[in-house]
Amino acid sequence: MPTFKLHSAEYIVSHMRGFSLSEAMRFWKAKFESINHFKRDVTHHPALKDLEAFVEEHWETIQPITVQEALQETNMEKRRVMFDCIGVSRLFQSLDPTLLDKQVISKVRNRWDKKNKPYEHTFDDTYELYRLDGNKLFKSEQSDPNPVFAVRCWCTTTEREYWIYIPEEAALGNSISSSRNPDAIRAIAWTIRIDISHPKRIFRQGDIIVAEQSPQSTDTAPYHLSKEQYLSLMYSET
Amino acid sequence: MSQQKTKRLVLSEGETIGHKHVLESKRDFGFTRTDFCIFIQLIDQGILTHDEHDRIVLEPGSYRSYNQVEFNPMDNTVHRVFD
Repeated sequence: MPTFKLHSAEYIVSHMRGFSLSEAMRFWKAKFESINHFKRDVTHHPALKDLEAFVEEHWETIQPITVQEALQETNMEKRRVMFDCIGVSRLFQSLDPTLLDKQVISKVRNRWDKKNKPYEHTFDDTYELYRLDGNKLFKSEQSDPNPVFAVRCWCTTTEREYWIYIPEEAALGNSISSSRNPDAIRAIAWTIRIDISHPKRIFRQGDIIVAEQSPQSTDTAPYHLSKEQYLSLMYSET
Repeated sequence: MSQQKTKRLVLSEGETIGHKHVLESKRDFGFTRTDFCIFIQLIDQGILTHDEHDRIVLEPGSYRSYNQVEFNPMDNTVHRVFD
């Protein structure tokens, strides 16, 4: 049986193969928030325990790839992998995106105390929609590269900031509509995808979405919530 | 897809090790995991808890649990968000 040679093996990062170990480690350091995240997503197979031990030993001293390095990379497929590893939050904060829309919603949502008694919680939720021009990312690739879009929001409990990529149609509306307009609420609504019709109400706890079925609910193809559904169906958000 | 029974179900491990979204009920409830969601049939009240988030109380009924999703413009795919 061939043995795994740690230092001469080729590594795959974000579906692209051909990375040396030292290069892959810099990509992983950018991509994963901690060594635990790396272990969970990359080295969960028992055959990779030597790799895991080596990366863990050096984790604190690995220099992650930077946005500037990505912009200087001439191989566009590799540059895409670098952007993927760097992540939406750092990319948008580094490259001066354009704010397309900002909306503040005053929400009244159900919450429960430690005795499970319900009460109404009133708060303001802010959503910001940004565009990053494609020529800032892939200037040398084509004459008019596609822009990328992200919605910025804050956790209602932890107040932690999140950036979430969304597709162009969620940012600007349907391309066959004559009235394309940026909408931060439509953008955040898109991030909730369910597969039942007529949900009674929807609960969100962090990144977990729970849809309660109604008597009319039936199975459907997966779909993303519309702005109107998002505003009417969200019952509790924590 | 076969339905299983439990009083405690981890809906998601979350991004940070040890932070889990956990649904608990005093009575066994049915659940079925698929690639897309988890079907949940509560016959008693269910309490959804997480270390960093306020609890959510679910009354008896039928539910489906999903992960929030995001777009990846680098490869045009849709995948789950990690909290």
